Amino acid sequence: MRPPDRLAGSSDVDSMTTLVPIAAAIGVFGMVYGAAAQPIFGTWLTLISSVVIFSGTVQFTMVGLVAASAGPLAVVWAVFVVNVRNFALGGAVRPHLTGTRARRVLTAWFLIDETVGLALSAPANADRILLRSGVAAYLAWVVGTAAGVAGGAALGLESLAGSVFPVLFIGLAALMIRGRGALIRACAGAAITFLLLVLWSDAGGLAPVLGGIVAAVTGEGRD
Amino acid sequence: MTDLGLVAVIAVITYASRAAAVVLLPAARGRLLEFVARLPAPLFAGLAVFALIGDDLSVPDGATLAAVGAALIVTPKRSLGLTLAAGISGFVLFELLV
Repeated sequence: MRPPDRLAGSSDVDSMTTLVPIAAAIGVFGMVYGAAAQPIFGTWLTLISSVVIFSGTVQFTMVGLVAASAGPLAVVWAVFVVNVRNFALGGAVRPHLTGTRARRVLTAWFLIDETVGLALSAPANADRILLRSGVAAYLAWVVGTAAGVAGGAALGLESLAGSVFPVLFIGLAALMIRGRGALIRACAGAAITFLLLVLWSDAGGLAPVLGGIVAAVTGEGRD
Repeated sequence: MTDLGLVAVIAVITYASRAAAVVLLPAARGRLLEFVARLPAPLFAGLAVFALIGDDLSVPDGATLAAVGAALIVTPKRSLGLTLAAGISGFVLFELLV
């Protein structure tokens, strides 16, 4: 099956209207991370961690475990498990990346949930969208971390940022739904994720990945 | 292992997992391509659930539920910008009115 070159309703994918609220939300989370990590890692290492890792899920996991006195091996293992989701994200967007190998080395840096979602919603422009939204997200994350470290964390905005992410993923899922089969798979993915979170307390970030994979596998031929 | 070393190792693992997926592994073909084409909708629906309740199964606050509700209403339009705008509007309205 060849994916369509362009999806209906995707013309606003990398517009300022879309990128600004996403970057702002990522920036606020960066502030929260900076404020949380600074007492544990100190100012410079907190900043360095955001510059060289660029993953909220990974960094919050790392800080949470270090703060809970977990050993380095436990932290590394937890981060490895969290990063398994990158294989699903990368596998989904890889067929739409038409750039050279060198370009993919660069764009791989920007492979996060939000940028992959944007790229998949307009696959004909996946390379450009991944790069553009990735740069915006990266800058927002690093600047937000710096603001948080500096004590400027506007924690009152945390709840808004926390609300933006489920809304973002709802919008991205809606963009991907083309037909009844896809709608059923999306609902199944949400339901399986919920069940995994309820039944397997350590599932964490793996739950949506497993939920998505199971729904995609079992939904074969139902378009 | 020092904290700096830990951060360095985690940075390498994180980038390697990203690069392996889009640089080292071959592009999907055939049935695998069909699978990855089916994957995004349930994956992002699952991420929405995870972003909403987290791994501690916390009940979302009213403003978040208002944001999600407003976003769901406009999903048939299939516009990401509109969905975000509706979600933020729902959040702000709840905060103002409740």
